[in-house]
Amino acid sequence: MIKKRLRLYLPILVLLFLGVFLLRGLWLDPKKLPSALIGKEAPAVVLPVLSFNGPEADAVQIADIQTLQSIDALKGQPWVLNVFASWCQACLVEHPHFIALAKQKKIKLVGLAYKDDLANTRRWLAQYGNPYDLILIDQQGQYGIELGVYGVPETFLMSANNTIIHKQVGPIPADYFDSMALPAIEASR
Amino acid sequence: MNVNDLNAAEKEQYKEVASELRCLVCQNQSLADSHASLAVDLKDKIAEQIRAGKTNEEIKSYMQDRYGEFVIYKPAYSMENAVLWLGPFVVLLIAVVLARKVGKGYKIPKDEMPPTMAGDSDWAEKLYDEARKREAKK
Repeated sequence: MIKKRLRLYLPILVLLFLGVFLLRGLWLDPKKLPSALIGKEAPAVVLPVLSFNGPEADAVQIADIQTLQSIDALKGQPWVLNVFASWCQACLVEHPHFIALAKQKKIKLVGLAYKDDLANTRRWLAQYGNPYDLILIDQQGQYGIELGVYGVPETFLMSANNTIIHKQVGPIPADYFDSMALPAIEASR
Repeated sequence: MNVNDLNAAEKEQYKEVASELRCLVCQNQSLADSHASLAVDLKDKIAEQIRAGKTNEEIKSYMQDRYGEFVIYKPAYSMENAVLWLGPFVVLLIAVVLARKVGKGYKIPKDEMPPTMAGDSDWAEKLYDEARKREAKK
């Protein structure tokens, strides 16, 4: 008798079990991808540096390709690589946070101008402010591929020996440095 | 460098690889189907590597090293996704076991049995003969 009752409820139990799985699926974000590069060294290449010294540089238009910066040479202290572009709307969301972070001078900020027209990059920086200590150029998106970038903005945190220790896809939060960067730096020591 | 610079054999390989990789921007498309800017860049990268003589596996692991296992449409078997690979077989096994268990104890009542099962083995022949006799009488 009890056994028969149990059999009656079995389909409902199975359904509930399935329901729990499906319910969980509602809150999973399929767009959030784990970075494959965490714990690996930042791909070492040499990139051209964007010449930008404030609003007046807009007019100067120096040949940017002449100044080069090797990623390897950035070793020595933790630094942040922010992939941005003037055509990127979400970059404006995080931009004030980078400006604030730059004022605090807590960490070296490197911008990567990703698939952007350089005149536009300059105009954008002149309009909204330049938080970066150094701006590198990736006009073809080739370094982006090496880094596994699939959308802008993306923010990589490098340790003192250039290991990628954290990656933020999409705009950084206002408390990025304290809530994400600092713990990651502590953990990598 | 893009797909148009490749020769016929290389193009075949290109199609194969590009259809086995996922476009990260529009996630339900393969790289081959996608025209998103990143997909175009990645496809050019594939073309470049094919020209350089890389095998399909080498190209796929190049992408996987940078973008994670997510880019591979057919992920390798691992502990994390074992449920997905083995789950269907487990369900099938349970179904077979249940079906056998349920079927075992069941006896067909005599009045529901087909006549051949109830012991009347030449039931069909008899029916046939009867029908012929009836026809002959007419």
